[in-house]
Amino acid sequence: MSKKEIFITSAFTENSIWRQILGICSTLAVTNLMLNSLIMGLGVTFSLALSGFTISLIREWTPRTVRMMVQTLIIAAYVIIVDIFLKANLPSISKQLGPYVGLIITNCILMGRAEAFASQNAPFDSLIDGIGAGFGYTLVLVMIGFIRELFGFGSIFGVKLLGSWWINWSIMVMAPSAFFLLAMLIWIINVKFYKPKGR
Amino acid sequence: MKDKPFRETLSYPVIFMLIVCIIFVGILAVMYRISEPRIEAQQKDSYQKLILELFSTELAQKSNVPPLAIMAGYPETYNSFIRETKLPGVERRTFCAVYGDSLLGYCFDIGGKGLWGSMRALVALSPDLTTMKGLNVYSQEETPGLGARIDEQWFRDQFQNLPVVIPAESQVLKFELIPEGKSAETPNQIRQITGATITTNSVVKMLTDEINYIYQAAKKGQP
Repeated sequence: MSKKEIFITSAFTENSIWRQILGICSTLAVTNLMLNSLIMGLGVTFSLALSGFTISLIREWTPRTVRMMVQTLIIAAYVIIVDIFLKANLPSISKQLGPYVGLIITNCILMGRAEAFASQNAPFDSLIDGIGAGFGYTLVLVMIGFIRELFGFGSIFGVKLLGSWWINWSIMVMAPSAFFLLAMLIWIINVKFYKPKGR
Repeated sequence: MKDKPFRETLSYPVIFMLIVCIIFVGILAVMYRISEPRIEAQQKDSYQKLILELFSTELAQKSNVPPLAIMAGYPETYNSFIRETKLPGVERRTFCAVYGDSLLGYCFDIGGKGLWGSMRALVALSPDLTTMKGLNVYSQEETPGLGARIDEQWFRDQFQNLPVVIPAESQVLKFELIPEGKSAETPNQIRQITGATITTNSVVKMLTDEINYIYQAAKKGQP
Protein backbone atom coordinates (compact mmCIF):
# COMPACT_ATOMS: atom_id res chain seq x y z
CA MET A 1 0.00 0.00 0.00
CA SER A 2 1.26 3.49 -0.78
CA LYS A 3 1.54 6.10 1.99
CA LYS A 4 -1.50 7.92 0.66
CA GLU A 5 -3.57 4.74 0.69
CA ILE A 6 -2.52 4.00 4.27
CA PHE A 7 -3.63 7.48 5.31
CA ILE A 8 -6.96 7.33 3.53
CA THR A 9 -7.70 3.84 4.83
CA SER A 10 -7.05 4.67 8.47
CA ALA A 11 -8.61 8.15 8.36
CA PHE A 12 -11.74 7.46 6.31
CA THR A 13 -12.56 3.98 5.02
CA GLU A 14 -11.58 2.28 8.29
CA ASN A 15 -12.20 5.32 10.51
CA SER A 16 -11.77 4.40 14.16
CA ILE A 17 -14.99 6.03 15.32
CA TRP A 18 -17.62 5.55 12.65
CA ARG A 19 -16.26 2.26 11.28
CA GLN A 20 -14.68 0.54 14.26
CA ILE A 21 -16.68 2.29 17.04
CA LEU A 22 -13.55 2.83 19.15
CA GLY A 23 -12.68 5.80 21.35
CA ILE A 24 -16.32 6.61 22.06
CA CYS A 25 -15.84 7.62 25.71
CA SER A 26 -13.68 10.63 24.94
CA THR A 27 -15.88 11.52 21.96
CA LEU A 28 -18.81 11.87 24.35
CA ALA A 29 -16.88 13.59 27.10
CA VAL A 30 -14.86 16.42 25.61
CA THR A 31 -16.87 17.53 22.60
CA ASN A 32 -18.97 20.30 24.17
CA LEU A 33 -16.41 22.91 23.15
CA MET A 34 -14.64 23.11 19.78
CA LEU A 35 -11.31 24.11 21.29
CA ASN A 36 -11.28 21.17 23.72
CA SER A 37 -12.19 18.80 20.88
CA LEU A 38 -9.39 20.11 18.71
CA ILE A 39 -6.72 19.94 21.43
CA MET A 40 -7.89 16.46 22.42
CA GLY A 41 -7.71 15.39 18.77
CA LEU A 42 -4.21 16.77 18.40
CA GLY A 43 -3.10 15.06 21.61
CA VAL A 44 -4.44 11.72 20.40
CA THR A 45 -2.90 12.20 16.93
CA PHE A 46 0.49 12.97 18.45
CA SER A 47 0.38 9.96 20.79
CA LEU A 48 -0.94 7.66 18.04
CA ALA A 49 1.66 8.63 15.47
CA LEU A 50 4.68 8.50 17.74
CA SER A 51 3.67 5.42 19.71
CA GLY A 52 2.94 3.63 16.43
CA PHE A 53 6.35 4.64 15.12
CA THR A 54 8.17 3.51 18.28
CA ILE A 55 6.28 0.23 18.63
CA SER A 56 7.00 -0.57 15.01
CA LEU A 57 10.66 0.37 15.44
CA ILE A 58 11.25 -2.19 18.18
CA ARG A 59 8.79 -4.81 16.90
CA GLU A 60 11.56 -7.17 15.73
CA TRP A 61 12.99 -7.41 19.24
CA THR A 62 9.77 -7.32 21.22
CA PRO A 63 8.99 -10.74 22.73
CA ARG A 64 5.43 -11.83 21.87
CA THR A 65 4.67 -12.62 25.49
CA VAL A 66 5.17 -9.09 26.77
CA ARG A 67 4.21 -7.09 23.67
CA MET A 68 1.01 -5.69 25.16
CA MET A 69 2.87 -4.46 28.22
CA VAL A 70 5.47 -2.80 26.05
CA GLN A 71 2.79 -1.16 23.90
CA THR A 72 0.92 0.19 26.92
CA LEU A 73 4.14 1.53 28.39
CA ILE A 74 5.09 3.34 25.19
CA ILE A 75 1.59 4.77 24.73
CA ALA A 76 1.52 5.92 28.36
CA ALA A 77 4.89 7.63 27.99
CA TYR A 78 3.74 9.69 25.00
CA VAL A 79 0.44 10.57 26.65
CA ILE A 80 2.24 11.81 29.77
CA ILE A 81 4.45 13.93 27.51
CA VAL A 82 1.29 15.53 26.04
CA ASP A 83 -0.07 16.06 29.56
CA ILE A 84 3.11 17.72 30.81
CA PHE A 85 3.29 19.87 27.66
CA LEU A 86 -0.28 21.12 28.14
CA LYS A 87 0.25 21.79 31.85
CA ALA A 88 3.38 23.82 31.15
CA ASN A 89 2.23 25.73 28.08
CA LEU A 90 -1.58 25.77 27.91
CA PRO A 91 -2.66 25.63 31.57
CA SER A 92 -6.23 26.81 30.98
CA ILE A 93 -6.91 24.08 28.41
CA SER A 94 -5.16 21.52 30.59
CA LYS A 95 -7.51 22.49 33.40
CA GLN A 96 -10.60 22.16 31.20
CA LEU A 97 -9.62 18.81 29.75
CA GLY A 98 -8.87 17.64 33.28
CA PRO A 99 -8.47 13.89 33.56
CA TYR A 100 -9.31 13.21 29.90
CA VAL A 101 -5.75 13.76 28.68
CA GLY A 102 -4.46 11.07 31.02
CA LEU A 103 -7.25 8.84 29.83
CA ILE A 104 -5.89 8.90 26.26
CA ILE A 105 -3.80 5.97 27.53
CA THR A 106 -6.93 3.85 27.78
CA ASN A 107 -8.34 5.12 24.46
CA CYS A 108 -9.04 1.94 22.52
CA ILE A 109 -7.88 3.52 19.26
CA LEU A 110 -4.27 3.60 20.45
CA MET A 111 -4.11 -0.02 21.54
CA GLY A 112 -6.09 -0.99 18.43
CA ARG A 113 -3.69 0.67 16.00
CA ALA A 114 -0.67 -0.64 17.92
CA GLU A 115 -1.89 -4.25 17.73
CA ALA A 116 -3.46 -4.13 14.27
CA PHE A 117 -0.91 -2.05 12.42
CA ALA A 118 2.25 -0.89 14.16
CA SER A 119 3.28 -4.32 15.44
CA GLN A 120 3.26 -5.71 11.88
CA ASN A 121 4.35 -2.85 9.63
CA ALA A 122 7.36 -0.63 8.98
CA PRO A 123 7.97 2.38 11.27
CA PHE A 124 7.25 5.07 8.70
CA ASP A 125 4.05 3.37 7.53
CA SER A 126 2.95 3.15 11.17
CA LEU A 127 3.60 6.85 11.63
CA ILE A 128 1.36 7.63 8.63
CA ASP A 129 -1.26 5.20 9.89
CA GLY A 130 -1.22 6.92 13.30
CA ILE A 131 -1.57 10.37 11.78
CA GLY A 132 -4.43 9.09 9.61
CA ALA A 133 -6.30 7.47 12.48
CA GLY A 134 -5.74 10.58 14.60
CA PHE A 135 -7.02 12.79 11.78
CA GLY A 136 -10.16 10.69 11.43
CA TYR A 137 -10.73 10.87 15.18
CA THR A 138 -10.16 14.64 15.30
CA LEU A 139 -12.51 15.12 12.36
CA VAL A 140 -15.38 13.40 14.17
CA LEU A 141 -14.68 15.25 17.44
CA VAL A 142 -14.63 18.62 15.72
CA MET A 143 -17.83 17.87 13.79
CA ILE A 144 -19.69 16.93 16.96
CA GLY A 145 -18.05 19.78 18.87
CA PHE A 146 -19.23 22.24 16.21
CA ILE A 147 -22.87 21.29 16.63
CA ARG A 148 -22.71 21.03 20.43
CA GLU A 149 -20.96 24.37 20.95
CA LEU A 150 -23.13 26.17 18.41
CA PHE A 151 -26.42 25.03 19.94
CA GLY A 152 -25.24 24.73 23.54
CA PHE A 153 -23.38 28.01 23.87
CA GLY A 154 -24.26 29.92 20.67
CA SER A 155 -20.56 30.23 19.91
CA ILE A 156 -17.73 28.64 17.91
CA PHE A 157 -14.23 28.49 19.39
CA GLY A 158 -15.57 30.79 22.12
CA VAL A 159 -16.65 33.49 19.64
CA LYS A 160 -20.33 34.36 20.08
CA LEU A 161 -22.12 33.76 16.77
CA LEU A 162 -25.76 33.68 17.76
CA GLY A 163 -27.18 36.85 19.26
CA SER A 164 -29.01 37.41 22.52
CA TRP A 165 -32.24 36.04 20.97
CA TRP A 166 -30.73 32.60 21.04
CA ILE A 167 -31.62 30.41 24.03
CA ASN A 168 -28.86 27.88 24.76
CA TRP A 169 -29.87 24.23 24.68
CA SER A 170 -28.64 22.75 27.95
CA ILE A 171 -28.97 19.23 26.54
CA MET A 172 -26.23 20.00 23.99
CA VAL A 173 -23.80 20.72 26.79
CA MET A 174 -24.47 17.43 28.53
CA ALA A 175 -23.11 14.04 27.47
CA PRO A 176 -26.43 12.57 26.17
CA SER A 177 -26.44 14.97 23.21
CA ALA A 178 -23.13 13.52 22.06
CA PHE A 179 -24.78 10.09 22.03
CA PHE A 180 -27.55 11.32 19.74
CA LEU A 181 -25.20 13.27 17.48
CA LEU A 182 -22.68 10.44 17.21
CA ALA A 183 -25.42 7.93 16.44
CA MET A 184 -26.83 10.20 13.73
CA LEU A 185 -23.38 10.78 12.27
CA ILE A 186 -22.64 7.05 12.11
CA TRP A 187 -26.05 6.44 10.57
CA ILE A 188 -25.64 9.09 7.87
CA ILE A 189 -22.12 7.97 6.98
CA ASN A 190 -23.11 4.33 6.85
CA VAL A 191 -26.09 5.00 4.59
CA LYS A 192 -24.16 7.30 2.29
CA PHE A 193 -20.78 5.61 1.96
CA TYR A 194 -21.01 1.96 2.89
CA LYS A 195 -22.98 -0.76 1.10
CA PRO A 196 -25.00 -2.97 3.44
CA LYS A 197 -23.64 -6.51 3.66
CA GLY A 198 -25.48 -9.59 2.40
CA ARG A 199 -27.60 -8.03 -0.32
CA MET B 1 21.54 -30.85 24.92
CA LYS B 2 22.02 -27.71 22.86
CA ASP B 3 21.66 -24.33 24.55
CA LYS B 4 18.55 -22.37 23.58
CA PRO B 5 19.23 -19.05 21.83
CA PHE B 6 19.07 -16.13 24.27
CA ARG B 7 15.89 -14.72 22.71
CA GLU B 8 13.96 -17.84 23.61
CA THR B 9 15.03 -17.95 27.23
CA LEU B 10 12.73 -16.87 30.02
CA SER B 11 14.97 -14.02 31.09
CA TYR B 12 14.88 -12.29 27.69
CA PRO B 13 11.37 -10.76 28.06
CA VAL B 14 12.21 -9.66 31.60
CA ILE B 15 15.43 -7.95 30.56
CA PHE B 16 13.77 -6.45 27.50
CA MET B 17 10.91 -5.03 29.58
CA LEU B 18 13.38 -3.65 32.10
CA ILE B 19 15.39 -1.83 29.44
CA VAL B 20 12.27 -0.37 27.80
CA CYS B 21 11.03 0.79 31.22
CA ILE B 22 14.32 2.46 32.09
CA ILE B 23 14.49 4.28 28.75
CA PHE B 24 10.93 5.63 28.86
CA VAL B 25 10.84 6.46 32.54
CA GLY B 26 14.15 8.27 32.02
CA ILE B 27 12.72 10.33 29.16
CA LEU B 28 9.66 11.23 31.24
CA ALA B 29 11.70 12.13 34.30
CA VAL B 30 13.89 14.50 32.29
CA MET B 31 10.85 16.00 30.57
CA TYR B 32 9.09 16.52 33.89
CA ARG B 33 12.10 18.07 35.61
CA ILE B 34 12.51 20.52 32.73
CA SER B 35 8.88 21.66 32.83
CA GLU B 36 8.44 21.55 36.61
CA PRO B 37 9.53 25.14 37.41
CA ARG B 38 7.27 26.43 34.63
CA ILE B 39 4.24 24.47 35.82
CA GLU B 40 4.76 25.58 39.41
CA ALA B 41 5.29 29.21 38.43
CA GLN B 42 2.10 29.16 36.39
CA GLN B 43 0.07 27.64 39.21
CA LYS B 44 1.45 30.20 41.67
CA ASP B 45 0.74 33.08 39.27
CA SER B 46 -2.86 32.12 38.65
CA TYR B 47 -3.46 31.55 42.36
CA GLN B 48 -2.03 34.91 43.36
CA LYS B 49 -3.93 36.68 40.59
CA LEU B 50 -7.19 35.30 41.95
CA ILE B 51 -6.40 36.70 45.41
CA LEU B 52 -5.46 40.06 43.94
CA GLU B 53 -8.65 40.10 41.88
CA LEU B 54 -10.80 39.72 44.99
CA PHE B 55 -9.42 42.98 46.34
CA SER B 56 -8.82 44.74 43.02
CA THR B 57 -11.96 46.94 43.14
CA GLU B 58 -11.17 48.17 46.62
CA LEU B 59 -7.48 48.66 45.93
CA ALA B 60 -8.39 50.55 42.77
CA GLN B 61 -10.69 52.91 44.68
CA LYS B 62 -8.01 53.61 47.28
CA SER B 63 -5.30 54.29 44.76
CA ASN B 64 -7.52 56.01 42.18
CA VAL B 65 -6.79 53.73 39.24
CA PRO B 66 -9.09 51.36 37.34
CA PRO B 67 -9.24 47.78 38.72
CA LEU B 68 -7.71 46.51 35.48
CA ALA B 69 -4.59 48.53 36.18
CA ILE B 70 -4.21 46.75 39.51
CA MET B 71 -4.43 43.41 37.70
CA ALA B 72 -2.06 44.55 34.95
CA GLY B 73 0.44 45.57 37.59
CA TYR B 74 0.85 41.97 38.77
CA PRO B 75 3.24 40.84 40.32
CA GLU B 76 4.33 44.23 41.75
CA THR B 77 0.81 45.11 42.96
CA TYR B 78 0.46 41.69 44.56
CA ASN B 79 3.74 42.03 46.41
CA SER B 80 2.91 45.48 47.71
CA PHE B 81 -0.70 44.90 48.80
CA ILE B 82 -1.14 41.21 49.62
CA ARG B 83 0.72 39.17 52.18
CA GLU B 84 0.30 35.75 53.70
CA THR B 85 -0.68 35.84 57.34
CA LYS B 86 -2.14 33.73 60.12
CA LEU B 87 -5.20 34.31 62.28
CA PRO B 88 -4.83 32.64 65.66
CA GLY B 89 -7.06 29.58 65.81
CA VAL B 90 -7.98 29.49 62.11
CA GLU B 91 -6.51 26.45 60.38
CA ARG B 92 -6.86 27.76 56.82
CA ARG B 93 -4.33 29.31 54.51
CA THR B 94 -4.85 33.03 55.07
CA PHE B 95 -3.87 36.14 53.17
CA CYS B 96 -4.54 39.77 53.97
CA ALA B 97 -4.80 42.86 51.80
CA VAL B 98 -3.19 45.97 53.17
CA TYR B 99 -3.24 49.48 51.68
CA GLY B 100 -0.84 51.79 53.47
CA ASP B 101 -1.68 51.23 57.11
CA SER B 102 -5.25 50.09 56.71
CA LEU B 103 -6.28 46.46 56.56
CA LEU B 104 -8.76 45.91 53.72
CA GLY B 105 -9.67 42.34 54.54
CA TYR B 106 -8.68 38.71 54.72
CA CYS B 107 -8.70 36.01 52.08
CA PHE B 108 -9.08 32.36 53.06
CA ASP B 109 -8.42 29.20 51.10
CA ILE B 110 -11.50 27.04 51.66
CA GLY B 111 -12.74 23.72 50.36
CA GLY B 112 -15.90 21.67 50.02
CA LYS B 113 -17.63 18.93 48.07
CA GLY B 114 -19.06 19.51 44.60
CA LEU B 115 -21.15 17.26 42.39
CA TRP B 116 -18.31 15.17 40.90
CA GLY B 117 -15.46 15.90 43.25
CA SER B 118 -14.02 18.34 45.68
CA MET B 119 -13.73 22.03 44.99
CA ARG B 120 -11.46 24.68 46.39
CA ALA B 121 -12.12 28.38 46.54
CA LEU B 122 -10.74 31.66 47.77
CA VAL B 123 -13.13 33.77 49.80
CA ALA B 124 -12.43 37.36 50.79
CA LEU B 125 -13.89 38.68 54.04
CA SER B 126 -13.89 42.10 55.67
CA PRO B 127 -11.43 42.67 58.57
CA ASP B 128 -14.17 41.88 61.12
CA LEU B 129 -15.04 38.70 59.13
CA THR B 130 -18.73 39.57 58.88
CA THR B 131 -18.98 40.73 55.25
CA MET B 132 -18.04 38.71 52.23
CA LYS B 133 -16.09 40.69 49.67
CA GLY B 134 -15.85 38.14 46.93
CA LEU B 135 -15.51 34.53 45.89
CA ASN B 136 -13.24 32.78 43.40
CA VAL B 137 -13.51 29.04 42.88
CA TYR B 138 -10.06 28.00 41.69
CA SER B 139 -10.36 24.24 41.49
CA GLN B 140 -13.50 22.29 40.64
CA GLU B 141 -14.63 19.28 38.64
CA GLU B 142 -18.19 20.34 37.85
CA THR B 143 -19.93 19.68 34.51
CA PRO B 144 -18.60 22.08 31.86
CA GLY B 145 -21.37 24.42 30.76
CA LEU B 146 -23.55 23.65 33.78
CA GLY B 147 -21.95 23.42 37.20
CA ALA B 148 -18.71 24.90 35.92
CA ARG B 149 -20.59 28.15 35.41
CA ILE B 150 -19.84 28.99 39.06
CA ASP B 151 -16.83 30.68 37.45
CA GLU B 152 -19.07 33.17 35.66
CA GLN B 153 -19.03 36.79 36.69
CA TRP B 154 -22.75 37.20 37.41
CA PHE B 155 -22.72 34.24 39.78
CA ARG B 156 -19.65 35.45 41.64
CA ASP B 157 -20.96 39.01 41.79
CA GLN B 158 -23.75 37.81 44.07
CA PHE B 159 -21.18 37.19 46.77
CA GLN B 160 -19.68 40.66 46.59
CA ASN B 161 -20.15 42.90 49.62
CA LEU B 162 -22.59 40.47 51.12
CA PRO B 163 -23.08 40.62 54.88
CA VAL B 164 -22.81 36.97 55.83
CA VAL B 165 -22.45 36.93 59.60
CA ILE B 166 -25.05 38.47 61.86
CA PRO B 167 -22.83 39.57 64.77
CA ALA B 168 -25.71 39.63 67.28
CA GLU B 169 -26.48 35.99 66.64
CA SER B 170 -22.87 35.19 65.72
CA GLN B 171 -24.25 32.92 63.00
CA VAL B 172 -23.89 32.71 59.28
CA LEU B 173 -26.83 34.02 57.29
CA LYS B 174 -29.19 31.43 55.81
CA PHE B 175 -29.00 31.64 52.02
CA GLU B 176 -32.13 31.25 49.98
CA LEU B 177 -31.88 29.92 46.43
CA ILE B 178 -34.03 31.48 43.71
CA PRO B 179 -34.29 30.67 39.97
CA GLU B 180 -31.62 32.06 37.67
CA GLY B 181 -34.12 34.21 35.75
CA LYS B 182 -35.42 36.04 38.82
CA SER B 183 -33.71 38.96 40.50
CA ALA B 184 -32.80 38.94 44.15
CA GLU B 185 -34.88 41.07 46.50
CA THR B 186 -32.87 40.54 49.65
CA PRO B 187 -29.09 40.06 49.86
CA ASN B 188 -29.37 36.49 51.12
CA GLN B 189 -31.17 35.38 47.96
CA ILE B 190 -28.79 33.64 45.58
CA ARG B 191 -29.72 33.06 41.94
CA GLN B 192 -28.91 29.44 41.28
CA ILE B 193 -27.52 28.08 38.04
CA THR B 194 -30.17 26.42 35.88
CA GLY B 195 -29.44 22.72 35.53
CA ALA B 196 -26.84 22.76 38.29
CA THR B 197 -28.84 22.79 41.51
CA ILE B 198 -26.46 20.42 43.27
CA THR B 199 -23.43 22.53 42.41
CA THR B 200 -25.10 25.75 43.57
CA ASN B 201 -26.13 24.05 46.79
CA SER B 202 -22.59 22.77 47.26
CA VAL B 203 -21.13 26.27 46.88
CA VAL B 204 -23.61 27.70 49.36
CA LYS B 205 -22.97 24.84 51.80
CA MET B 206 -19.21 25.24 51.49
CA LEU B 207 -19.50 28.97 52.17
CA THR B 208 -21.84 28.55 55.13
CA ASP B 209 -19.71 25.83 56.75
CA GLU B 210 -16.37 27.42 56.15
CA ILE B 211 -17.27 31.01 57.05
CA ASN B 212 -18.99 29.72 60.16
CA TYR B 213 -15.84 27.83 61.08
CA ILE B 214 -13.55 30.79 60.35
CA TYR B 215 -15.72 33.22 62.30
CA GLN B 216 -16.06 30.96 65.34
CA ALA B 217 -12.40 29.89 65.30
CA ALA B 218 -11.16 33.45 65.01
CA LYS B 219 -13.42 34.51 67.88
CA LYS B 220 -12.08 31.73 70.06
CA GLY B 221 -8.52 32.49 69.05
CA GLN B 222 -8.83 36.11 70.11
CA PRO B 223 -6.91 36.90 73.29
